[in-house]
Amino acid sequence: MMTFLNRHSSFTRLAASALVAGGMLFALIPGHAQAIEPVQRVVSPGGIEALLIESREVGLISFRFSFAGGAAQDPADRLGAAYFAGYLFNEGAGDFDTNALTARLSRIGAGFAGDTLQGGINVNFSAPSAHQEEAFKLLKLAISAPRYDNEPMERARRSALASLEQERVSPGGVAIRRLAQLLYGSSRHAQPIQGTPESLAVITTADVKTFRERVFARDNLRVAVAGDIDARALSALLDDLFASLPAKADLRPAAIPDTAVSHHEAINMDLAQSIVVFGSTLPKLDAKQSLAANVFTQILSASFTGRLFKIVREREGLVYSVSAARGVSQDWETFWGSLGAAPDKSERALAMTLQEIERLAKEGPSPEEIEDAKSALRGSTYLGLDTSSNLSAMLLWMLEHKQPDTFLAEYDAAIASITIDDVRSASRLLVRLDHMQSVSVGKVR
Amino acid sequence: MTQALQFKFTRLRELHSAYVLAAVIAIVFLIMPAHAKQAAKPSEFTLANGLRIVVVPDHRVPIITHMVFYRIGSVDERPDENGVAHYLEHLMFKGTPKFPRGEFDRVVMRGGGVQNATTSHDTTVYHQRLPRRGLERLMAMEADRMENLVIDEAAAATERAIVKEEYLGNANQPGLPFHYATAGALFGNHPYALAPIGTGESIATFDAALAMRFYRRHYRPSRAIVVIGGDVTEEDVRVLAERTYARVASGESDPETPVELASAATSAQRVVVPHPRVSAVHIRRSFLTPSARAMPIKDATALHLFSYIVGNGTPSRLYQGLVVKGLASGASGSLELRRYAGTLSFETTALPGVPTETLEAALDRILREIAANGINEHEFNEMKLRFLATRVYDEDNTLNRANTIGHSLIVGWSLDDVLGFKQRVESLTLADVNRVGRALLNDARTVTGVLIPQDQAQPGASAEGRSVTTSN
Repeated sequence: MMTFLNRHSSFTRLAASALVAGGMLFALIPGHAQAIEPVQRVVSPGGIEALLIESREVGLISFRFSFAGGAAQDPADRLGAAYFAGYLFNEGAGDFDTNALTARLSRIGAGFAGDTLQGGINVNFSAPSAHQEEAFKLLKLAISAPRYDNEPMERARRSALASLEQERVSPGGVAIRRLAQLLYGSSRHAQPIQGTPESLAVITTADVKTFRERVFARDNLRVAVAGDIDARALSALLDDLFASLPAKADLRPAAIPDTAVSHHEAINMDLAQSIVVFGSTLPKLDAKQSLAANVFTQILSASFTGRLFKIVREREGLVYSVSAARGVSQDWETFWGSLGAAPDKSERALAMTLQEIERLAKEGPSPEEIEDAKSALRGSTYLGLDTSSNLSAMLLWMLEHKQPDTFLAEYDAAIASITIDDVRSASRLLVRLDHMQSVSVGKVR
Repeated sequence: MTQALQFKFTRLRELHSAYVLAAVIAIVFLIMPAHAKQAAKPSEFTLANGLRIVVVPDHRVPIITHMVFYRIGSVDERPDENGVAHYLEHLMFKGTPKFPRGEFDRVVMRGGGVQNATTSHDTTVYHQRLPRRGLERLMAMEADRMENLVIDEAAAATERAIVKEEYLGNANQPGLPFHYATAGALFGNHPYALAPIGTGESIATFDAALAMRFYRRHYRPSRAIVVIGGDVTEEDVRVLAERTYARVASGESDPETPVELASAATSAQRVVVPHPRVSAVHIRRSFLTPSARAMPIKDATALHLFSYIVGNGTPSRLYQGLVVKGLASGASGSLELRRYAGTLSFETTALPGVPTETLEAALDRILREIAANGINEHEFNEMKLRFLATRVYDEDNTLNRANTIGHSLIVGWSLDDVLGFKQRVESLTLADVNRVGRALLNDARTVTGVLIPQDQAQPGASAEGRSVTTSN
């Protein structure tokens, strides 16, 4: 409930922000959607487009939108500008300061918050449909007249510094940050979304305003809606909400990370269990390759039944956790994984994990493994679509990754068409052991 | 199993998220559907062998959530068995003669489902989510492993190594020493003072025989509550249950023995825990409450609203007085009702550079002010409105509803107690909330846990070390 009020930075959240750059876990990608209301494309009179799944059973509206261009659009000397633009999105608008705005939203059970990723700034809004009129009025105010008051600005700054400080002492934080540096080199993606201690010391509300005026626009806007609202009402709403924004964003091309040769680093920390992360970047896979890569990752890394779980955990007892996943951003992607193992076993666990990944990529899966994985991906269709909030998240993902509106309806057939050769060729693109970067954090012997 | 330990203190996330949300609040609340076209309301029935089954219909998407809650947790362990409930939870995936090892995983995986299990002090939970057509198979397999588990020595040894790894992963984090220090002060010799994961020493003694003894002693239908949420009706479930769960033998009479809370805190205590993986001071003040069963239902409801008003979200007293004032990065309140004793806790994480004394004094001031004068009418009205207005989100999330119902029944509430929650909140007055809230805040038996960065510790203190001071 009300997760949009929560800004946390768990290991996975950190990993997602550092490595996944706007991606969504493959397990959430759904399939046959015959039992779900259809996806509608709504175009407002003013030309703003949105995807909608209308669902009337629960009196809720989940409304998400994002502006392409997140932290990656930060000016080099103002890292963190995007983070502040996201943080301050619900911190006061028009005549209402933070407390007045929160009180108004609270009373009607509505809420919204911004969240900054490397590739975009996302806003997640929800409201009981009984109170939608007032809730959308407040959202419109936040879009058109943010206040950027001193108190929330300073609170955001303190919060950013505190999370950088915590990352510095957390084993997972240290591991992921170093891996991001190895993978993404001089690109913005190597740095924390919040910025650095140096940039946080100088950034002002004027910088945040400048960023907002550059990046919050109608041509890089994506809108995804699910719940108790119909296309007509949404269409009128879109023009009303976003009319104040400029037509065009001023986005600068973001650098694509270079590919480095394989490299391992061990960072000494007195830990009971070592944390190991590994990864490499690759050019973005196309739609078909992407599905085949998901089949590959499912076979490799599904919990309880994946090869890594069965071999490295169950057969060898080397690890408690081991996984591998894809992180997809706008123009490229990262294949990465992590494991936790006793200090004296972590080297062997990493070697065996990489060896199993390589073996699966080289030899390919068995026909039975392919069928199981395809069945799993098809069956998991609805698991990520059970709440209004999950539905709108899926629609936003489709927009961000330029999927056709028929993606959900055709997913089943697309999965069914994947052959063993598709999986083989996708895995050859995905797994690049000669470029694999790895970092272990733990007791160095 | 990948997140086998449901343990609120072990993950750093909770320690520095903006609102420091507790991961396990045994009772979170939900409401009756408000719309005519909504699915039927949750209902329950009991089989002849003592198994209770709750059905939570939601027909929007053709999936089901299937959860088996055993009223068996680390609190049921004997002193030399600490951690065996959790170890057994791992071994429950090792198969039966009818469904050999791996079969369960494969059925869930092929169906595109997800599954996991968690063990806490009060309960062990096995849960799966699957497309609807897989439900009968799941029920058959869960029913089967309720009485026919087989554990071989090889599997027991591998799983002991994995549990040890899990323990070591927890031991990396400040949560485990913080739990031992604070729960030790709160609960004394009660098993709530121990951790469900066990200790390095206890885990080393685990084997197949030990796990099997625990299984035989506790696992039986009368200790289980099955909650099935999603695209099913009670009628569907009754038919399937006759073919599955109803066939499990009832076993011997329920051996559950009440664990009395013998040595709880008797005065205010303060516990300081230094840790190298902490960057900012974290303070948690906990007040003991009666068990869920012992507390009048109206008081429990009022206490929940009280903790919400004091510590939930930006309008709350704690957020305004600590975060907005520039002392803390987060602050929250939570009520945890459990089988034998509960806690009302308020916690906060300092911003870097804010001294412990400053933050603690501010927290003291806020809680003392509320203890003396209560919450005021304005915040009561505003926060109650907010609380009631957000109940609609619970309707949207059947997984959470099923989970909430299961946990609530485990600690002793009835299904009607859970479903009547919103109505009880609506009827609460300011006086009701202040009566229970102030009484608890004026209770001297508090424990304040202070987690500090290692480099702020007094010389001689180690990561594992703790200092305890008592005051009144």
